[in-house]
Parts: sequence; C-alpha cells; structure tokens
Amino acid sequence: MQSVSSSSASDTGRSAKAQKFYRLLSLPSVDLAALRELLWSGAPEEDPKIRAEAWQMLLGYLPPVKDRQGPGLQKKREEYEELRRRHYTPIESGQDGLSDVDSAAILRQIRVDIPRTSPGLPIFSHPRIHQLLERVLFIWSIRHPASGYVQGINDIATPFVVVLLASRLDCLPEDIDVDAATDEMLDSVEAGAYWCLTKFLSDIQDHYTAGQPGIQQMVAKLKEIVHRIDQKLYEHLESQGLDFLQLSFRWMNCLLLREFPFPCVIRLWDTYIAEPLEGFSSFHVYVCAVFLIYWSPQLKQMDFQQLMLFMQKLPTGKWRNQEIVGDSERAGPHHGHIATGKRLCFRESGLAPYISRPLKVKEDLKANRYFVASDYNFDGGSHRSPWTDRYIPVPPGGEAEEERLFRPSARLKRLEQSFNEVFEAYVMSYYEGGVSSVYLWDLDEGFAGAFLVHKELAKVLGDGKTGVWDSIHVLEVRESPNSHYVDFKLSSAIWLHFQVAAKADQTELSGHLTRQAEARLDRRKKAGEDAQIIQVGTMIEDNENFLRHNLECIHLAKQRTVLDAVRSQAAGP
Amino acid sequence: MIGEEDYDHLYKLVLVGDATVGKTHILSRYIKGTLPKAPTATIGVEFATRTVSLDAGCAVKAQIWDTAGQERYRAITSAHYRRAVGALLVYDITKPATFKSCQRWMEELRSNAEPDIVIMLVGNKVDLAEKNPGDRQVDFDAAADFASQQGLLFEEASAVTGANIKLCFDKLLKEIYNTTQHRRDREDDPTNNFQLQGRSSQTECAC
Repeated sequence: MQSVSSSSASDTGRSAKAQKFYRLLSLPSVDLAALRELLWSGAPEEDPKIRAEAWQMLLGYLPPVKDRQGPGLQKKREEYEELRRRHYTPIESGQDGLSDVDSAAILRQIRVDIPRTSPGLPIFSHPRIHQLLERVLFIWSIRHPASGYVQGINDIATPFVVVLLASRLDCLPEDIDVDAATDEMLDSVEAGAYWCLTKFLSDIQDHYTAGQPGIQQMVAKLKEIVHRIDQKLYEHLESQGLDFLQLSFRWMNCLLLREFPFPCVIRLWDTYIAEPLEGFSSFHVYVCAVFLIYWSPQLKQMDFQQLMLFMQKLPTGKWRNQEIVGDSERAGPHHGHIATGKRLCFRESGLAPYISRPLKVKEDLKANRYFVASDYNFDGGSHRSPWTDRYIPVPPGGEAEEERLFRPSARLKRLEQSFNEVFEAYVMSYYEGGVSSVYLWDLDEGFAGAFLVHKELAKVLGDGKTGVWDSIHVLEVRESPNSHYVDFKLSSAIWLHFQVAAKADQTELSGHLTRQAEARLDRRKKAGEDAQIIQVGTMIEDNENFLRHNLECIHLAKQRTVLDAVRSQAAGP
Repeated sequence: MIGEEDYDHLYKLVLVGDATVGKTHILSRYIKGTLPKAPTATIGVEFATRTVSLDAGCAVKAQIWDTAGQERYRAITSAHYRRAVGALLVYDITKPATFKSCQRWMEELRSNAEPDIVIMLVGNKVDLAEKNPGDRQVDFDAAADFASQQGLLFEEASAVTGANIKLCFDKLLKEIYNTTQHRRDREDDPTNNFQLQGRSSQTECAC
C-alpha cells in the first residue's frame, strides 16, 4: 500500500490543511486522537489519498503504526479472500451455494438493486463495480444474519468504494476511470470497502434488524429535539398531521445519502468517521434536526400535501460543502450542519463527560493566558477563551462571523467568570499547576457547564516519560420557577494517559474513571450565586477525592501487582 | 397545479407488493406519464397526488402512497396504511413468488387500513410476456380466480408501455366512489372521513 507520507509529504504548494495531515500521517505511529480531530473538520480534497488513509485508519482497517501496516493489511486481505471463497465462490462457479432460500433471496435483491445504486455517479454503471458491490454486499449480508441485506445498505457502501478507488487511482472522485484500475487495485478496494462498511455499520446494526428499532429510536429522538428547539415548526407539522417517521425515515435509513449531493455526503462522513467511538449515530440525529430546521421558514407555510412533496425531493441538488460545514458569507445563525449539529448535541446531551480524547490547551494572547480547548467551547472551527470571551483563532469570516458564534447569556457569562476564578484557585492548590477552564451554557430551566483541567506530567516524570491528566466535570443545574429547589447533577471523569519510553519498546498505559453525584438546594434557605458556587465546588472536590483515592488504592495498586508478577517471571527462578 | 385543488372527494390509496414488482414505475407512469429518470429502491414511503374526474361527473383526488416492498420495511410501512380506502396490490407476472405473497399483503392491508378497503390486484410487466411468452409465470386465469375469490378487482398492466395503468386507477377510484357513496347513502354520516376540504359546502356532487 502506497501511503500518503511516502508519496507526497515533500510536495510543496500543498494547502496548510494537507500539510497538517501529512505531518501527522508520516509519523511512525499515528496519533489517532489527533487524526480524529483533524478529520473532524474535513479531509482536504486535493489529495484523495489523505481521506482514504484517514478513514481506513479510524475505522480500524489500516493500523496506525507504520511498521504494522503492511502485515496488517495483508492479513485483512487474506481474511476477506477467505470469506469470498467460502460464501461467494460457490455461486460464481455455478455450484449451488444457495441451498437455503434466504441467501438466494438476498442475492436476487442485491442483483436488482445494484444497477439502480447511486445513478448520479457514472462509475456505478460499470460492470466491474457492479460485481465488486455484489460481493461486498452479499458477503456482508451473509455474515450479519440478524439484519441480512436491507435496501439502502447498497447506498451506504458507495462512499467507501469511491474514496478508496479515487485514492488508488490518485484522482478526484468525479474523474475515476474504472477501466484504468488493475484487478489488484479493485481487489484491494473491495477488501477495504468490505471492512470499512462492516465497521461503520456495526454502530447502527439495529437500524436494519426486525422492526428497525434503531431507526424508530432515532426518529423519536429527532422529534424530541425539534420539539425543544423549534416548537413552532413542531406544532405546525403536528397540526398538519405529518408524522416524523414519514419525513425522516429515509434520512436515518440511508444516512442522508439520498438527500445530499455525493461530495457533501463524503464531507459529512469525514466528521461521522472522526466522531469518537459509537458517536456518530447520536450525532447524526442532531445533523438531521439542523437539516429539518434549516427549512423551517418554508415548511411553516406549507400544508400536509405540500410538505410531503417538498420533503421527499428537497432542493439540495446544487448544494456544495459550505451548506454542510458552514458558510462565512452567509448572514444569520446558520453555521453549517456539522458545527450547528455538534453545538446542539453538546448543549442538549452534554451530560456524559466527553473523555474519548485528551483535552488540548490553547493560548489566549490578549489575556496572555492558557485555556482548555474542548468540544464544550467549540464553534465555527474555533475555541472560545473563558478569559476574553473571544473565539481563537478568529474564524475565516472575520469579526462579524466571530460575533455570531455561540455565547452564553449575560447572566451566565458573569457566573462563568466567577466559576473560572474559583476553579483556577482550586486547581492551583490541588494540582500545583495545570490549565483549567469552565464553560457554561443555558438550558430551558437552568444551565449546564463543563469544568476542565488539563495537566501534562512530563516534567514531573522526567526521562522521556510523558503523562497526561485530564479532569472533566459536567454539571447540570435545574432551577424551575415553580419549585423551591435547585437540583444539581455532576458527572466527573478522570482520564489518564502515560507513555514510558524504554529503549526497546514503549509502554503505554491509559484509562479513565467516572463518578456521578447529585444534590439539591432549598432556595428559601440558601439563595444566590455564591451558594451555587459553594455547592458545585463541594461536589467537584468530593468527586475528585473519591476518584483519586480509587485510582491510588485500587487501580495503581493492582497495576503494580500485575507488573511485579510479570517482572519476577521474566527474571526467572 | 390549477384544478388540482378543485375536487369533491379525497381518497387515500396505497401501493403495495413485493420489492421490484414495479410499484414506483406504475406510480410514475400514472402521475407523470413517464418512467422514473433515475430509478432507485423506494425507502420508506413516497407520496404523489392526482385529481381525476369520474364518469359520474365529480372530481376525486387520489393521494397515493408508494411503499417500500422489502420485507424488513413492513413494520414501518404498514403504519402508513391507516385510513387508506384503496390499494393497488402489485405482483410481477414473471415472478410467481411475488404472486404468492399477495395473500399476505392482502391480510396486512385489511388489518391495518380501513376494513372495507377496495383492493385492485395488478399483474405488472405484461410487456415481458408479450415479447417472450415463455417469461410469463403467473396465469391470467389463476390470478383472476384468486381475485374473484378474495373480492379484489383485477387487471394486468405494464408500467413500461403504459398499458392499462390509467385503467387500473380509474376502476379502483370508481369502485371506491361507489362503495363510499353507497355507504353514505345508507348511513348519511356527516362526519364521514372521505369528504375533506374541497367543496365542503357541497356534500353530494352532481352525479
């Protein structure tokens, strides 16, 4: 496999974005968390190899360690060849491999659907691609009997075929000439597409099992979100008797492949694939909510029949990527489906601490201070500094664009400031340094917030050993005007990552711990922001003490026992 | 769409039948007079309307729901049968399995739609049998017998040539009209579902 780094790392004249990918992908061991972060904002279009490599790596097909890539791919290729021999060759060679009725029905359906798959792209009318897709879909279906082949999965396979083939032919997706591909190239694309599809669908397999429970849940969730954030639209759709299942079933079943032009789907999938494990399926619902609300002004003017006709053929044919990722030229609150969806996703369901990647630190030059960059203060491609309330770096659209990015209400902004001061003092005394930040956002009744600490342990450990300690506390405060009580919910997580570089090999240790806490304040007795700050401070301190204690007395102690046992065995009797 | 909104009765119809018997082609032929430009498998349901005038002299609007045929979608699509007063139950005359499934489709319709739903059984793809008689796998007479036993209307048709497509819908709509009209005469129920919007002041049209 020709990798990105060897082919073009030295090229000059590449975009800054491509350069970032090259730097990352050329390392002997690619940092997957960093790759997720880069890919989340989209792969550059100029070099099709970048996207293919990033997708395959994040979907677990291409090993991140350079030395293991050759053997790793070889093994996967062989496994696929074996599946092909077992499940597909009997059909090909005319032996009756289809003694059971189900397989025969699956194959018949696949053969009917393939010629009508993505008719907008010329490569999908090529017989070689038909055969490739037939094998991939058939083998996937046989290997996943709970769902089997469901129409729409053929659509979902297409982005993988296009991205991998464009990479092998080193051309843009629209310039793919199937006849220029060798058999070896197509075989490698086929195996890659199979494994990528398998991984991708593993998160959403219950979309396609009996009764399609995954889709029903997503539709229910969509309905709930729209009810909360665009009540007028929700009420209008209700009054017209339009069911959310009618309007969004296909969005869930085909992941918007039938709604967006193909290049937009590819861009959207950059983000889906970069989402932390098991993340994209819940994120997808938010993207759908943003997509629906995007049309809200028109939809509110329509009656049932107009709605149905409009929704099944949305005017997205001329859409380009800016509709998906945001367009700085555009006025108004719309920043593209991805960023808006993400922001919503956090504000709505921010309670689960987000611990799948290490926190990052950025510098606020105006305040001359560092702050924690996370998904909780991310919008429009930039991070908001708690010290100056500015987004850093200034987004491509300049100051005007920056003004439109998400900010908490004025009341909450004041509270956020107080929290930041108090929390910083706490972190200074407990952590002896480290960077801390607090971000708040409004809820319908109350507010939520993230309390973050990032500490690098390199200096403490010395000798090329590195370590990172991240604390993430997510707070939800419910204050209803009809109640005397204020309810606090806190979820805390500690994320630890050590790397100890010895001479021969590296030892990596990482893990996380979590703990939840709840409390209630009586407003008649204690009121005001001070009482809230004290309450939250106590809860955070309790959670952290508990987690530290656990870490030290249970986890590290056990680790030590295990390591000692290994060492004494290695030393021999 | 002038004239589209000028109707006496609104009928909800559903198009059902196994995958790839040609439901979407039939709908496209009936609504647009052509076949779909970029045919794809129907996912969930699709929707179209057409207003026609019946021999009786009144205008009816057909609201047609085209459903996905694949087994896995039944749970989702059957939710859309609610309040349907008519159905086109389609099979492919070159595929006996699609005809065998009709029994099950019929039961599903009768349990999820209006109890007295009018069903038109349609044997699609006669053009294939005309081109090559050996392709025909379902006898006209066998299907006609099944239809009369079950109380279904029946036609063979071809979405590709357009043969009998309009006839299928016309006969179905006329039968629905007769049934509901008959029932209305009998019950004279002012809350009847089938007279929506349109000329609401006028409960009976000049037929």
